[in-house]
Amino acid sequence: MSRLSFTNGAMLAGLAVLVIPILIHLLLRRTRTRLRFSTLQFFIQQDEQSERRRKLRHWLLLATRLLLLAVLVLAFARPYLPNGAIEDPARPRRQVVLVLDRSASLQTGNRWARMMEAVRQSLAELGMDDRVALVVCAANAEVAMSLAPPAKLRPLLDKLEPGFGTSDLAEGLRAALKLLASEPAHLKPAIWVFSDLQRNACQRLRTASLPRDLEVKTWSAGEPDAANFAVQDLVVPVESGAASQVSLVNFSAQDAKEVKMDWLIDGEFISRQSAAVRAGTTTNLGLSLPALSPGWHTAEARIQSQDGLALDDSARLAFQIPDAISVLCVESRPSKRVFEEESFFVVSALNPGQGDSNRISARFKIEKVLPERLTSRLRDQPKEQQLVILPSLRQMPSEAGSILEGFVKNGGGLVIFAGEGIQAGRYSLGWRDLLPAVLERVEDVPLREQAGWHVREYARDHLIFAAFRQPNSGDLALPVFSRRWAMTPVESSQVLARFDDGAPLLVSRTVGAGRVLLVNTSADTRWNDWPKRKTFVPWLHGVANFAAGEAFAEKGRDNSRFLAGMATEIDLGRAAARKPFLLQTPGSAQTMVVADAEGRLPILPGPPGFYSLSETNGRLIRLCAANLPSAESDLAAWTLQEFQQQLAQAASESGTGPAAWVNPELRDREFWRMILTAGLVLLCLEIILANRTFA
Amino acid sequence: MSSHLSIDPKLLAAVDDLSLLARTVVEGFLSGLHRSPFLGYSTEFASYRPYVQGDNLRHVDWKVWGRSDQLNVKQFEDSTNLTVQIILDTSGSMDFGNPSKFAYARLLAAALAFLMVRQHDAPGLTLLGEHAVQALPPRSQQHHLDDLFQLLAGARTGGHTVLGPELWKVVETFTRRGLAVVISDLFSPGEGFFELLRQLHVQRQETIVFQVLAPEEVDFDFPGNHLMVDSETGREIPLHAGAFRREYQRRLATFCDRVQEECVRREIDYLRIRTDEPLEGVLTAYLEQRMAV
Repeated sequence: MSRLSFTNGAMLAGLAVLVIPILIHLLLRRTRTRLRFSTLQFFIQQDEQSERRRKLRHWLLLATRLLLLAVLVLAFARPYLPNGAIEDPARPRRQVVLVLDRSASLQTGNRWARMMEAVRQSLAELGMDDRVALVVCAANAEVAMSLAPPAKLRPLLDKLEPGFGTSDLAEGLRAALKLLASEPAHLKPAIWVFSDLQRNACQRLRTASLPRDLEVKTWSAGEPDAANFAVQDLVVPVESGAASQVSLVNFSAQDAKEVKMDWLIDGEFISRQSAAVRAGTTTNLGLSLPALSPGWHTAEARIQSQDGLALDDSARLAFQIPDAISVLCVESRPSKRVFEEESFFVVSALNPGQGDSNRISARFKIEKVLPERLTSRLRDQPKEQQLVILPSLRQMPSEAGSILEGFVKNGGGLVIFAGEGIQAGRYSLGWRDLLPAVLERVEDVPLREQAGWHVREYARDHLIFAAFRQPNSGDLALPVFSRRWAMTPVESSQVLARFDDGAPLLVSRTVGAGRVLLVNTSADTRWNDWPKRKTFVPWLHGVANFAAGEAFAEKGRDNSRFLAGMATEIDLGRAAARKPFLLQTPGSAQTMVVADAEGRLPILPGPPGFYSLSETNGRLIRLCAANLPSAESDLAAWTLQEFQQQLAQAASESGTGPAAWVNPELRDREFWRMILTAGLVLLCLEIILANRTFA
Repeated sequence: MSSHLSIDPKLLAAVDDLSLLARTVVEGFLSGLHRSPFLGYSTEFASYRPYVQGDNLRHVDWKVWGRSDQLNVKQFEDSTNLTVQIILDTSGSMDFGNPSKFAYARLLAAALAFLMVRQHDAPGLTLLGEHAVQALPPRSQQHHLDDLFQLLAGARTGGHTVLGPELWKVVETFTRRGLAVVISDLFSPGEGFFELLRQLHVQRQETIVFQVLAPEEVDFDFPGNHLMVDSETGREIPLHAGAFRREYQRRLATFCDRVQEECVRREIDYLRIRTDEPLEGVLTAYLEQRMAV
């Protein structure tokens, strides 16, 4: 039997107005005058018939008015017939969507086992004719099973395991609502939520837009104050000598007097540190890494703790120490005392351990060469060098221009310091196709500006200045410049830094596959005091990296850090398009994966750990580290009451009723228009009856 | 003549002495009939009256003519020579109108009785209501008249008009040929009154029917909606009287015509009276009937 439902059920209270015509009927009846008459025998004979008709008409009129009012009230209540509803009034059939939390926090203790037991017990409450669906919430909310008999869900539950990502219960609720809306609405809908109600998973509950009348049953496996320590935000600078850092977070309500943490590089124990971590605080620990050879390495910070969640007791990072860039630095003023050489500051900045016997591995491999040997080196071994640095050279071989041009066009980098002794006419004429600017004359600081020139503006987003993006990472305005060249940048060049009077300081030009950078100052301290400033080294590293075309370290670092359970992709470049690779995941065998047409490799990290990607011949091309999402480490959970309050607020804020969330195509057979039409017909009938004269 | 015979309804309602009223009505009526031929005859000398053209010369008192040179006719009192059964309707339907039909009918009965006794007739009285009761058998004595007046004064209306075996038994006692005067509105269910007229005819009663109607009944001037209540049965019928007036008058006229036709068919005198009409016509009709007997 179809059950009639109403969109605005409250309007049915308007049926009380039906009393009005009844009262009018009764009142009018009482106002008739009683007249005692000798005999009614002359009225009865025919009037019995007319009286019957009159009474019938009278009752018809009353019924018409009552029906008219009832129809109007019904029309305002907007009744609808559920689509094909067949229902047992004693026990309404139900369609239940289980929203199951699979976030990593459920791996805490026996949460998962308890939760699955609760799910099975709840399923036992459902009858054979009920329908149940499953939405699992991990990194994304997915419909694991559409509405089906409960028996079909049990095998699926046996295969379910907790995930490693973070979940959003609001997304799960939305998926459940969508599922209910896509189904016929004659079954009583309900959503059953099984979760540990971790606070971060419930943050967006108010966006779920739940209908007020929807039954939402919740079961929680979480505790309001579960203790947990987490190791997070491991940072390992690839620059030699820089300190690595890691954060140790105490999510407990109690202080930890001593937390021991081990550092492991490439899986080998390096060091152990201990720290006291107060409740609810974060402690940063640092470690200077040893010199590492170029190539892929792993770093891991691991605490020894018996806390709630073991998955976040380690923070991992994979990083690549790039091969050293070969730099050929021309020295025009060789001396027994290196600090008197013109290239002293440049070489020292690029390779601080130059000449030491126990030097650490440096980013740059520098070779000094005399001007007259530059052309032969470039001619004989063009592929070995990636960058040529020219301090102020007074004399250059005549063929140096063409050789350098060929070197740059083939992808090499060239950095020229325009200092003392440069012959402007020869540079401008002979290296016309190389220089980013035309040199004109040497300028001194005017007498009125005794303080000298400073750097006023620079391309902050450029790779050269990447080291200065963070606050307090160095003030480039501090170096003072006393002399410079007046120069005019060529059309195809780009000014990357300027003095405070607008004159160019650093000009770049792309020539063929390579780049040329012209620095409008000396490489030593004759024209400036920059080498004495701490910004000189990172700036020069940026210049050398950019000129050599190296940005790999930045890319590699970004692409090597994943979140467990969160789908991502590795960009291997077009050269790797449709090529097969071997992917090694933690605790499992290698699997074959194939890059797409763009050279991208989609990957879904599972458990936290290191993931390696190799070519089919076994050559390692990428190491990646997957860590637990930091949000999962905070195991603090809402109570059932708090959760229900949030749901209630979500329902009240959304203000939606069943009509808003149930698919109208599948459910609503509204017939208020038909009722209104019937009302109009009744109105006409009432007018006819009411205006009839009764005999 | 009719002016002093007309009875003011208010006066009728205010005067309780039915004998006085009857006497007044009849004396007034008779004084207007001094040259009328409608006077009874008796075997005993009663009085003289002046001769009028048409009088039988045998009744002229020649002695008086010899002494006074005036022609006088001798009048005689007859001994009782006619029984008159007055059948008065006391049903609830008679209690209608202002003055009520019953008050009018009762006065009519009293006046007739008074006149009858003066004519040496013997009036009897039968009250017709829920129970037909022969209240008084016909007698012509003066004290009988007083008893009749008392009975009439004490009569009350109410109940149905029952025209059945009880009445027929009363009618069966009218063994002596005489006159039956039916005073009623004739409103009764079924064919009861026609049966009464038939029974009277069977009993050799010369019958005269006075159908008393109230002006309200005839005019039926009640505008608007009313809940009509039957004065006999208490039955109620809601009615828009204004809309039904014409139909009602048609039905009433049909009923009265049918009664008249029935009376004519049975050689019964029939007189329809409105209670706002004088009694002269009624008494005249009686005398005409009396002479025919």
